[in-house]
Amino acid sequence: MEFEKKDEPFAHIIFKDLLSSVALHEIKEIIESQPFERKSADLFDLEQTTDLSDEQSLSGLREKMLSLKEIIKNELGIDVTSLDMSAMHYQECDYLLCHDDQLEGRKIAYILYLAKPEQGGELLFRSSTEPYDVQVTIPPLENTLVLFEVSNKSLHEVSEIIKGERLSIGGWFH
Amino acid sequence: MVSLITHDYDEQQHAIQQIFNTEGIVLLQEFLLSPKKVRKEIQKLPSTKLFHPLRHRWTVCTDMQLRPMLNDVREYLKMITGETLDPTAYILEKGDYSILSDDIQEEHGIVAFMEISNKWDDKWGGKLGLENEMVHLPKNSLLLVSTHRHRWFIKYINHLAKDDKVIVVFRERKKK
Repeated sequence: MEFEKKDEPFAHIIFKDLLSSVALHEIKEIIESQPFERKSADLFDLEQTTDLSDEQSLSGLREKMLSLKEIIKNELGIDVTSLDMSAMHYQECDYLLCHDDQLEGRKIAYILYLAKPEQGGELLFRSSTEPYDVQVTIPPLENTLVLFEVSNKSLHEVSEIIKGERLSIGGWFH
Repeated sequence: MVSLITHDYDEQQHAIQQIFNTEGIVLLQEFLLSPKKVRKEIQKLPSTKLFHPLRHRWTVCTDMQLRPMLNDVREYLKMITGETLDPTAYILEKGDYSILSDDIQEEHGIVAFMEISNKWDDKWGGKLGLENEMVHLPKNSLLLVSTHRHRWFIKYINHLAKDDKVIVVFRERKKK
């Protein structure tokens, strides 16, 4: 499986074309049929499903994700055993402001992109020592998976959706 | 006689004081006689753009001239609350926000939020949050809050915004 690993501003791995086109299509259909709830707080405005960890129809995707354990161990030096999963849907004006994801048990954050907006919705990484400039911009390309270690260095955000909609599955390895 | 504030509020001072003492919170709508004039005067003052991704992005004015400019409001608030409150103006444009970050300072005691933006559409964002509760602050209104402690934030201003959000926050002076 091909991937790209980078170390700045914090270690992250990008997999392009993770799934076959058939699998991607199936997963999109499953996700699009899930109920989403609007979530709003100081940090974000977006829609999210409940935890899909027990969703049978996504068991194949969970297995695929867990099969990345060895790569995570080899490239990031972290052992993981399980993951949680939910889907996020961003509409025009939705966003997720800068944060580090730190919460007990979360080791690796992941995002698998299912639909890319026309404008906006990039994943932005900042350095914890020089947070004023964006260091890395990752466009939410369909079928791309991004992984990174959760720490006080993992400052990231999703830029406001200017046009279109952004759909992804994400969560954390534990 | 206070001159910046709508005359009715001067007359209703005692009633407002009673509500505030009983409820701990009061919203005064159509508060200023000329919010446009006050806003334009504030926007002429020196200010500083502050950005820390984990806390806020906004323009802040704590200029010395802000106090005398808003002295009528300060005096009125002192009549209601018995406390001297000092103003800080926050100006937010597209992309600006504040967050309830872990290291954000709590406000202690009495705080007043005076909304003096021009035309504002809630679709543009910019709502005031007090802890996890969103508060609707109408145009030209003042929200007076008495709490033991609280944190506040202003929701992200999105790309649809056609103007700047201007809010003046009055706080108790820190007691030595």
